[in-house]
Amino acid sequence: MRVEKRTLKRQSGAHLPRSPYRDFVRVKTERKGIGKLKVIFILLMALLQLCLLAFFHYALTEVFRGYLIFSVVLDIITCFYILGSSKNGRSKPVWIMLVLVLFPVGFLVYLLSDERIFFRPSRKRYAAILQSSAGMLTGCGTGGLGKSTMHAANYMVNTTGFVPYKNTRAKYYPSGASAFDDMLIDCAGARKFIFIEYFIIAEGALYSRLFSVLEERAAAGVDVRVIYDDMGSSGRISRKALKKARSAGIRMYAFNKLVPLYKIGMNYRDHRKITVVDGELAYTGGINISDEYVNEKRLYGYWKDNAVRVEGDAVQSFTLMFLRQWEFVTRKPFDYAPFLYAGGAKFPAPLSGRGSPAEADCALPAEVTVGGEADVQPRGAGAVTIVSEAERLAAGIVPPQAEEKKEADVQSAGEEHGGVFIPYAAGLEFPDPVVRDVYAGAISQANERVWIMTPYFVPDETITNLLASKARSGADVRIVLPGVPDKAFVYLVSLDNADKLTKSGVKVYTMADSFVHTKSVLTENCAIIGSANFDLRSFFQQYENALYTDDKAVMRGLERDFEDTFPECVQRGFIDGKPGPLRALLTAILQIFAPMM
Amino acid sequence: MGQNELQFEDDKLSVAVKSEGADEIVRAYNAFGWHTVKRYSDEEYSDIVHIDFSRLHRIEGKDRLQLLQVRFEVAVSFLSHAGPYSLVRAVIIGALLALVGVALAVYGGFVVALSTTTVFFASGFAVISAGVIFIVLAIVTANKISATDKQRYGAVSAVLRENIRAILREAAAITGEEKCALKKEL
Repeated sequence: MRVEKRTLKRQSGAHLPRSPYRDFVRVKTERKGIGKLKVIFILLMALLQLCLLAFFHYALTEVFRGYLIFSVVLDIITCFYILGSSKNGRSKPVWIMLVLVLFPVGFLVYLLSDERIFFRPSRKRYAAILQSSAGMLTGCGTGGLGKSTMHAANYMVNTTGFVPYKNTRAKYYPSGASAFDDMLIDCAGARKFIFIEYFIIAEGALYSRLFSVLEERAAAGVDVRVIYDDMGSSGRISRKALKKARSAGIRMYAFNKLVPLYKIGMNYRDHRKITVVDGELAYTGGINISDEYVNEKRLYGYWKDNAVRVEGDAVQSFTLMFLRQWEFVTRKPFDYAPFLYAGGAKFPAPLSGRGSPAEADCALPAEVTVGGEADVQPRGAGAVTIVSEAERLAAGIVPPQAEEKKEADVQSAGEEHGGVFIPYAAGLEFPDPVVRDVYAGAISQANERVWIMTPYFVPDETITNLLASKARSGADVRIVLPGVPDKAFVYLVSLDNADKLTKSGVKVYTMADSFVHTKSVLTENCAIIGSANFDLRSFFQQYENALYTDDKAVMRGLERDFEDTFPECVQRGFIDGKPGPLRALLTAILQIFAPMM
Repeated sequence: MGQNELQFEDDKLSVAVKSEGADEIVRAYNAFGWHTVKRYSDEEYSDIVHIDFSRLHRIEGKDRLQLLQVRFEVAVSFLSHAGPYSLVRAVIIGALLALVGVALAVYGGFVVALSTTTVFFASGFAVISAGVIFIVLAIVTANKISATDKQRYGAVSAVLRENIRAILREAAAITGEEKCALKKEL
């Protein structure tokens, strides 16, 4: 047998061995992780600094015995301080445990991690920015809104200053690929400015596509500004690419640059996903600028995401969110007025302006129609033309027929205009946990259904108890989670949290062969689509943004997305037995650190 | 980007495939709307073929096609692993039992060799017998587990093959490439 095999080997290749891999097909973009050397280095440096501090502290206690007693007293005082603080309920016991376990340096570690002390300068700068830009938004007012929308609007106005809008239309995208195609077309039509703020900007096919458009627009005199998070984009965008973009006239800034120091501010990341074009239209959702978000790179199976395109008055809030963050990262105050309606720079009536790429047919000039129907690319400063059927085929552009028809179905159709849109930002510039409170408000107002799609499910007791109580009250509560995890430990905790809710009647689904990155909530009253996960980081530690709306078209789009997703899922509890003792133990340990995930 | 036009470049995909199934894989990817651009042998391994595909960027039902393609790749990869995996459990359990048997037999041999009394001599033989029984047990158990697992993997594989056919049928229906669906089973 061996001789035969050797003969066969020689026959198939004179000098080459057979591959040791068992994979039949290997997609070359497939990777199970991304190099995060910079982040690891910085974490190690921070850890080293903490260890050095601890060492010197111990040395001090060795030299001065009295200092040991002083440390004990300080640890106890710190525990009381934590108990009395406004930290979220889940993180308090963890911190108290850490302070006691790390005796006698526990209090020192806590104080160095207290954002009220070491994030104070940033908070002050945010406060100044918020103050100088307050009152710049002119919404539709909270009068005459539906009950649940009015609750959300009042909360938003009082907490963040973001206001509700009408005179807005929106289009829902059930995937990143379709959203980015339209976004590119819209960016190509920009005349005044393009603002882009994303957690991840990574080089690749999508980056090349988008930045070639941005560079072209910047060269044409359009004000192009980009903010990316330094941790999210770490190792994914080269200096060469940054240099090229900047030399093309694109102004790019990293949010919260990573430095090899133990600094609590490093923990607060800009997780927002915003694109604003000319102050007339905006995109938001779960998407980032990276190939996996358009499924052109395979990381964790199929990448499920969503986005929403907003056109009209509500775009003002997205513009303001970006401008505030821009002032924060650049540290240069400037006049926002030219970018907002309130500044007197009144833009063309938004609803009769561009029209979304899929609904532009209504504005088709008859003379360009070839063969009955022509596909229209959106207009804008002549950057994008109408392409006839023949030209399109010649150019290799396939009509986005059924897919776009499906998307067109979920756009705000004429009779369904009138929905209220409340774009909002959340983060450390606001004292309240806005993300958590908006989710909690929407869930508490729901009586019929609460459908949630999220990559991570590590909420606090407020959300957990609300979901359990809604399910027990007879509401249809469903949670869709990924079937393929990106972070194994967080996934274990997410499944554990979700599984606990199944006892209350919550239906938990995992999407097979897919990583669900969509962050959305749908109730019978509203839809919330944005960047905020159902986890404590999004609730309390990250800069997030989202769109709250009761617009029927968006709600129907999201509903259809859920309905299309459920058949692709496996419902938890039907096939899974009880977790083994090892997994239960690991999950219990991980649950302790859930507030830090 | 031209002055008046925004056109998307074609999407690209590169895969490495075992050469014996390359033609079927090409047909399968055709069903997803991909067309072969380049096909070349691997520089390191004789049984690997690299295939570069391209596809129009904007196509009908792209999201669905992407999901189906992932499911296809997962199913094909599972099938290629299923055979060897079906033996792993049997080999591990069989080897562990056989190890115990061999240890007992060796220990029994020592006892017999060094025994000074009849009782020790007899107990040595008993231990050797126990070792032999364990070895036989290892073979029987490994065979049984192997048969069960093969049956189990066989059932899963059959379902997966049917899934692959269904995936390709659906993909071909979306792209209109029905003729490209797999002609023979993977």
